[in-house]
Amino acid sequence: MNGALEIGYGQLAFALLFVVIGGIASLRLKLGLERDLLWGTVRTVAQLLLMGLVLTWVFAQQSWWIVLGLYAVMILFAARIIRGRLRERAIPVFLPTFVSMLLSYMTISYLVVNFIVQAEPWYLPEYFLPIGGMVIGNSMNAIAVSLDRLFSELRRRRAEIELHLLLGATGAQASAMIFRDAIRAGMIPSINSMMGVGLVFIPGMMTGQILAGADPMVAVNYQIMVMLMLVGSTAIGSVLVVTLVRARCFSRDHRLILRRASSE
Amino acid sequence: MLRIEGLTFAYPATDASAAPGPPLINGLSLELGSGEIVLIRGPSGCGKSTLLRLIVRLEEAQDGTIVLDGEDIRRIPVTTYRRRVALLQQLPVMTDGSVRDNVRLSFRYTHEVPHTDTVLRARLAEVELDGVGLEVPAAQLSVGQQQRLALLRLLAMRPRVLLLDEPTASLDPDAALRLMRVAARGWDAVPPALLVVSHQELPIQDTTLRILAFRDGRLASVSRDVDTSSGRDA
Repeated sequence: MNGALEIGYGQLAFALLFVVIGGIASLRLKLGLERDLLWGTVRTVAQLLLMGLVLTWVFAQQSWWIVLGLYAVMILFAARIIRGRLRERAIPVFLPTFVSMLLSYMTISYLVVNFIVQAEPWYLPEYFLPIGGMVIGNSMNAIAVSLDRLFSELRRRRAEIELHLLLGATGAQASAMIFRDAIRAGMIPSINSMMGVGLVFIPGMMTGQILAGADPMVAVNYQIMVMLMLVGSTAIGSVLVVTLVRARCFSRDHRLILRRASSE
Repeated sequence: MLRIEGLTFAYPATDASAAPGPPLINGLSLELGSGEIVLIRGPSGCGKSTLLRLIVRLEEAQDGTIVLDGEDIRRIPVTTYRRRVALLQQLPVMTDGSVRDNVRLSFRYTHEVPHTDTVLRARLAEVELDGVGLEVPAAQLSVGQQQRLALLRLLAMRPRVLLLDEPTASLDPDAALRLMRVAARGWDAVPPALLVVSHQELPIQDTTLRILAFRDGRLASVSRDVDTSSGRDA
């Protein structure tokens, strides 16, 4: 790798022009998006600069507990975002989401960095954090979709679930079909992106490596690994989270706790 | 056989910080003997259906005990209990699939062997579904037929107590009464005790039936005379 061409702050300022064009369009067409555009731009710049500083520091430290600690914080934010996206408030999802993401994603990132990339040491932050970040970013959406589907279907099909309960089913048996639906709903986007990759779009990571001067074939191998890893982590993450959260939707004596939107 | 004592229940407040609403069921007691038929009357929304949901443990009471055959129901595994005390839901719920698939649901969660088609046809005749083919998608049946199929599904579990929630919600009063008769007969030498809740008058002439009124979260007995006269009018 001979490194990417550098972009200075002056050139970045030039890129602001794109946002200004968006702002003008918003004003002219009365889209009412100016504030969001401005706030989004400020957050993008601030969050990425902060990330840059943190990464620079972490790369300098090369300590396993700082890497894992930072990764745990990233997962914490992901769990918060998932909770924020759900309309359901009766069932607490934060803790089960956080715990299962933490366990499964740490394991997956470790396996990928240590056994596939074979980085030395296994927590090499230049590899562990970006790879781990991709795992979180992709399956965060899947988990949010799965949970949303789980809750809406449990409410909508309450009578059917209770029919099974009344015939002697456990909560897990009575909601088996909804469980499958929920996982499937979360997994479909990542399977779709496996179908489209390379034909419809060049994925971000590969783009980044090519821009950084990597041989396209090396970038391709990385991308293949990433795609496979993302499908696996999405599956494991959503199965774990939905399993834990579904268990919270039923009482120990197999009652569906979620009520209809309009209580009788 | 089934004894309810001091049952109290209020739906939790919709807002988590607020206190629960006033009790819908307030210190209710009821005793149901073997083979007995009890009809509970009361206006819509008074808590009759909730009472049945409490009995099958689809809701959790704040206070009170329910005892089945001398045993506190909280000591019976709930999946076993719900097969002994069965609830017919207000509107029939059919799953995708045929009439046969729907009846076989009764056996999905036990180790019992499902009925053969010959037995199934005989059972269908008992609930007045003799003309209906086993392969017919259950969704194509009329609501009344679906409700009888749902009853058959419960009778297949040979429950000790059968709870019927508003049979007139899906059937006219005469059909509801016929459904009750089929339910009360059961399939065994010992037929199930029957507890029926209804907001509508039923043209009942049966004098063995006990009628209770649901008032202020409790049950009160209704004078026999009043009821039989209204029964004759219908």
